[in-house]
Amino acid sequence: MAIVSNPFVDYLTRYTTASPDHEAAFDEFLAQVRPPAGEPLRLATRVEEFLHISFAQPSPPSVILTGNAGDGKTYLCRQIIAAFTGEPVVDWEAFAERPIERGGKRLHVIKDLSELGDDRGLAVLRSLAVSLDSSSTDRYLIAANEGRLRALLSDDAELRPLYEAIDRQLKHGAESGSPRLVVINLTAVTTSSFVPAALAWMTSAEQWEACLPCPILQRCPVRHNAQHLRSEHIADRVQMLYQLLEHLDIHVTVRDMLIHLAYTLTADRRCAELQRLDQGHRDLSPFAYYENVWGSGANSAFRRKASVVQHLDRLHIGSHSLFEIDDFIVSGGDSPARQAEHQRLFTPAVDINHRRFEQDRRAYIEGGADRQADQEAAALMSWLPHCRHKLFFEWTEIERVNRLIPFLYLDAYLDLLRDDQSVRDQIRRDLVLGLNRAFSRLYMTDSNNLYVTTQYVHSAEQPRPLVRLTIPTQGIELRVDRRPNLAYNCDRPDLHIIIAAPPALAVQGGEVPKPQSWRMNLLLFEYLMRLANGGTYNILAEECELSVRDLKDRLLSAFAREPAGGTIEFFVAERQRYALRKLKIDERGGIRSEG
Amino acid sequence: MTTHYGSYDNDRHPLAAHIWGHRLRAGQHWIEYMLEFLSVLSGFEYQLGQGLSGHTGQQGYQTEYSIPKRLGLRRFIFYDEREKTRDTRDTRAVGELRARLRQLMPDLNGHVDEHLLDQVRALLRSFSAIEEDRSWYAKALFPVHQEFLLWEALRKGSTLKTYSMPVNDLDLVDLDQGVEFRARNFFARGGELYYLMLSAGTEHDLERRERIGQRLKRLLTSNNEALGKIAQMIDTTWRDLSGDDDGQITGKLGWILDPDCALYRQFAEDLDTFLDNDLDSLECLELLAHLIGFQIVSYIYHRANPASDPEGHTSGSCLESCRPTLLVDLLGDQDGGIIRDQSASALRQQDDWQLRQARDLVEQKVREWAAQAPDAQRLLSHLEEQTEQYFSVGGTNTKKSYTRALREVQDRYSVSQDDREAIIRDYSTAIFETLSPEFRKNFLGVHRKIGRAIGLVAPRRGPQVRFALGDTLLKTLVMAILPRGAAPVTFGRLLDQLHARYGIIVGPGEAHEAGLITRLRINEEYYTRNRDALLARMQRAGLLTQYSDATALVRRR
Repeated sequence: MAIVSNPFVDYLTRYTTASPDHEAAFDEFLAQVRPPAGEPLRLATRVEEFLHISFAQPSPPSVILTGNAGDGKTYLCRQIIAAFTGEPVVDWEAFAERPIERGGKRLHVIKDLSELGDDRGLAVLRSLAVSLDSSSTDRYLIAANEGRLRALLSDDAELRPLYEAIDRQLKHGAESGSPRLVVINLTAVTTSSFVPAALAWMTSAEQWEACLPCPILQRCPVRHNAQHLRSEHIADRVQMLYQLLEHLDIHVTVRDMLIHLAYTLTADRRCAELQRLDQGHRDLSPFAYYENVWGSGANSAFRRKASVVQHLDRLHIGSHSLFEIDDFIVSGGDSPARQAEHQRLFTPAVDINHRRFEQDRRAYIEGGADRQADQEAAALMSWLPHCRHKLFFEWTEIERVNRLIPFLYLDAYLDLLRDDQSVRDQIRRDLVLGLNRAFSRLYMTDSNNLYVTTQYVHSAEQPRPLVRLTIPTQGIELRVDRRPNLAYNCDRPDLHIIIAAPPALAVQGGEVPKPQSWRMNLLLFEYLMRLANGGTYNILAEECELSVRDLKDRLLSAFAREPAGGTIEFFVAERQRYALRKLKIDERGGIRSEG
Repeated sequence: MTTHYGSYDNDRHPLAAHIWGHRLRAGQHWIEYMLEFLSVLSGFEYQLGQGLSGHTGQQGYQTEYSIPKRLGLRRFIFYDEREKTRDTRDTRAVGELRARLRQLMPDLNGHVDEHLLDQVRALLRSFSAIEEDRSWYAKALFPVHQEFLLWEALRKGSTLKTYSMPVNDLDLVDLDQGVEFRARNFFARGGELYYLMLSAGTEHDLERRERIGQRLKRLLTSNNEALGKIAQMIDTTWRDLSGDDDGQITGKLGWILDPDCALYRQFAEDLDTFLDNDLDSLECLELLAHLIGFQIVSYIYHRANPASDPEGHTSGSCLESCRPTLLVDLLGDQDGGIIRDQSASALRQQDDWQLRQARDLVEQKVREWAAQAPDAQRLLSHLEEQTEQYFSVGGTNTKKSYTRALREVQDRYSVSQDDREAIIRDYSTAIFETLSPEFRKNFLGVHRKIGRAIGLVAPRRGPQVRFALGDTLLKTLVMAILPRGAAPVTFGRLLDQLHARYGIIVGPGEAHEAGLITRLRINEEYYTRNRDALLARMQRAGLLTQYSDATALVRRR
């Protein structure tokens, strides 16, 4: 039998092949090798558009691009030079030597600040600083790693103003800067925004036409994957996984996304290998995209470098049994509509080893003569994680399958981000209660006030947390920052908890400190919500405890004042709950109990 | 030339005291170093540099510290029906005090508030820092206010026999009889030593000396004032009741050696940097206890180093030559436990070095004394006299074995024989053998005990004891190295500093610097993974921001 090979599959496996020099030349590779059919991948990014507009002006700004390897710094540099000179970049070395001139402006390009040594790097930053001060005609385009940039800047006291200008933009976005210097932090870009476009390109029909003469056309897992990932619903689900990572403050670079999506599609297999396996009647269901997406079956070299796989793997999606989902997989639905849905989903195809899943399922339900009951059970059980993964992407009842994600309060979090007012008040109370429990380490029940407590943690006796601050829950606000970013794609709203100064401070007179804002990612949200709902301290403690402790330090540092009168507030155990006690010391040294 | 700093008495002392000052003992609880130090400091009105000999007659100079006994307070808090050493005198005293206090705490209607007193007691007791099966007079509170500072005491004979005389006829002041605060050679004085180290380290920087004193004063007096008032009120009530007008304990400092040692200056610098913070007072005190514990351990290692000698300490070269090798293991079982094993052996080496230092001291002293006695006839008896004057030999058993060992040496070398070298060697060995059980029992365990408590040594129980870095200790050290408000430093530079200042080794860079790569012949990659593990921990702790594979920056907060 003749082997049919789709050159696009080979093209994609270039993404997934692990080799260090390959990574270094990723951008060059992408730009120069055209896919066998159709157009090369073009991701329309807001940052590129923004830079195009900026550099089309007669007096463009200087630009600093910060980001990790793979965020597209080099790519953007190339685009800017092209826009500036009107010609594509061929030789990088030439630009390193001398600035580019246009209309009386001279553009100095530093492709990678880290490649320069300390001395040359500092020299570049000093001349940048000078060019900002005057009506200089020099412009800079600097690509740098943020850490390296900060480290260099903090080495030199004279660069302090530049450091602050850059720091401000890195923290508050490019809008907060001057028109002469634009700092763009590419690690703030939400890569999830590009997932649908990248998938659409990888699965576009013209790339897969070469498959038509293939003998295993109907039995090929890669083609099956391409057909499914083309669906808008499934692409949305993949995007949702990326958004989930972003809610956990994990930034994925564009390069890592491309590597991961290509692997999801092909599992790093080539046409010839698949045709050979098919000839041997092998089970090809492990190559289904919904297994590849977690990196199942990937070799360890690939796993090490595929950061997305590592992050997703840690979420353990689908590895735990949920009754209603497993029951649906096994029994086939409890209503005619659901049964039809089951039939549609589990139509025999390569991803469920054709008719094998249905046979195993029938055998389990109806029992058979030729196999022992426990063998039947084992056969079906081994299908369950696979089918859960399948449903996670393919079942349209999203609320149900989202429960496979082990965050119990994901829905609440997303509702909040959608600015759903109905849940906001209850969640605010829950978060206050969670914080009360996290701070005091007591099973508190009061959510009307936030109590910032302190205690001697090594006490040989039961500690009694002292209340340092009491902030009414009305003074605490949840704020969702949905402002779109003009300079780059950042489509993730941020959730902040804003904590006002305790009213007692206003009573005492003097200047009332500004409210404290604390950004809460999904992990912290989950941690506090679980505590509020009776969870124990150990869950997520390693990830969140120190962050909560940091919030406490910040609140105390901003708001705590030693009370002038002698009052002590602390919690004591009382029948069913912890109650607040107040002791007051009067002028004569007597002690009285208050409340 | 050995120089003493503090108040040195030329008396006999245990072996360890001649090297590490008077004195550290394994019996001391880790937090007691801080409690005692703060007590001494407050007893000198928050001034460092007091209590040294040779300043007598100077205007306003305090030769002795003076601390309130606070017997009423500690009895109120700690003495109850579960007391280990019950005593009818204390039962009566606490009853009288409570009766009086009840009158002072009326409820809103002016009636006696029974609950209130117990609530107050439970609140104060929740700051109990040391219990450990001790009697009430030896327990201590966490010093949230200077009124909480309690000085360790004992009551003579109370653990052996119970007091059987009728107590109701005694005057109240007599109920406090027999409580002893200054029993010689009973208490450890780690906190005094720390006071001396800071004093020595700020001899030439009086501004810093003043600043440290004032910051600690503020920490202990301007926070938690209400709690302080309660404690003071309770204690004053007892003093008024019993008519005790001598509520003070006075004491003289011990001493340390080599006052010019650069390490003391470094301690003062680090403490100064650390104290410039805006932490909550309780948190600050907890970290302070960690810092003090860590510095005491550093001090032990510094002086145990084979390169430790008075000239080096004076010239400042000791910081480099006596830098310890604290190979910190962050990987545990991962990677086959290779770093863990090496870290465990680095810890064992510290035991060996302390023993070796003790041994060398004995031999050096014996040689000095032998040189003073050119007459072979009198050599042994001269050595014997000198030993008696210099080392305190200890209890009856030790004395016996000392005499026995001495007799053996005497028998071996008849007077006629003139092998001085052999006599010196054998005599040194005999002395060391007799002194070393006491040394092992009371001193050698100090560094591990403190190390475990502050998270420098792990695990708390079980095998493979090794160097570690707990979260709280890590935070403390970062705050001691990076000044408040300073620009963040790279992770690499922080590791450099941790090595340069404390000898902490984590990654390949420090391992190279310390010569470990060539000595231990472990693949560099293990150190790299060790470093990455620390990086991940610091990131979680919010001390570090990682900007990508290339750079990570550390900031205080």
